[in-house]
Amino acid sequence: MRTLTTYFGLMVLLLALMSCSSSKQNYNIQPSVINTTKAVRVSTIVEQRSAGELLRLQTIMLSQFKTKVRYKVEWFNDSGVMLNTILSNWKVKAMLPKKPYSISFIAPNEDAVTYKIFIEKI
Amino acid sequence: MNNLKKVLIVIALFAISACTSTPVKVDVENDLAPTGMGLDYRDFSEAAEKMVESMLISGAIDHPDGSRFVLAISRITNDTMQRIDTDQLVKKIRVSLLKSRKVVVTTAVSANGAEDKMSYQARELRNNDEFDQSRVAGKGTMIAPDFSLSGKIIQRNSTTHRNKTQVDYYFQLSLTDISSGLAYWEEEIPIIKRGSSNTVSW
Repeated sequence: MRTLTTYFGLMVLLLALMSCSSSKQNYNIQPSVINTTKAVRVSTIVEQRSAGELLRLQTIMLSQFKTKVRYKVEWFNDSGVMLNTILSNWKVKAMLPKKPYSISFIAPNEDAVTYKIFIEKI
Repeated sequence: MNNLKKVLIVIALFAISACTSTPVKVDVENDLAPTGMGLDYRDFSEAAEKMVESMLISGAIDHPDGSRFVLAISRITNDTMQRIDTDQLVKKIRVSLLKSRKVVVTTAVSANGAEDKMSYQARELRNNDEFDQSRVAGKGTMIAPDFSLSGKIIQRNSTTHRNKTQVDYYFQLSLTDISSGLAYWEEEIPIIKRGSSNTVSW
């Protein structure tokens, strides 16, 4: 009887915890770099945003080998909704070995508060 | 033997018809197909994107009190060998500038007259008893532009090493303050293509 009560209590506790965790989904998007190429390294992203200005990003790509990549940025507002803009188009870069390439982006408007940068080999 | 030839011809015709490709819709956001020597939608998109980036970074369209400047579209000349509607470039720029909330474009004034003549046609309803005059646009309500956007698309052809053809396209734009006549922003975006001399760029 005691074992049954214990199991029942644990089950109730588990159900309560599950309902608490699913009550609100978090759409928070963290700034990130999604780099699917093993040969290309990306340095730390430098962010700049003065009051009333647009968010600007800059970073450096470096490849060990001669390669061709394409990269883009997707911008998101504070609700996690992606902003549709031509500034998110793919850009192509032919990279020479061990030569650093600086890439920069500017947000389409002041709603853009976070971003994802994509880099892939083509 | 004659019957065999006829059968082979029929089979060959069927095979050829089966090989013809059906049209496919291009995913414009992930189009990795080779480019041609002429200007295609990807070139206009790239040029427009770089122009908008340059304009936003320059700060020329940052209004001191945070409101929006009014922009009129002036003459954009096509100096290429292709039949281009310069709106292929300008419309993309206008859409991005509008989304930036720094600029709004007037369609009542442009180099070719009003882009949307309805602004004027609606005013002809004044003193027309059929219309509620309180809903007709009043005098002195249109907003004059602060800036104008003008430019040119240039093409230069040349022959390079091993008889290849190089086509240089230059997208040039200027943003002029209408009050002072001064260009507060200018940019030139080159798009260079190199290919076989057998291809054409028109």
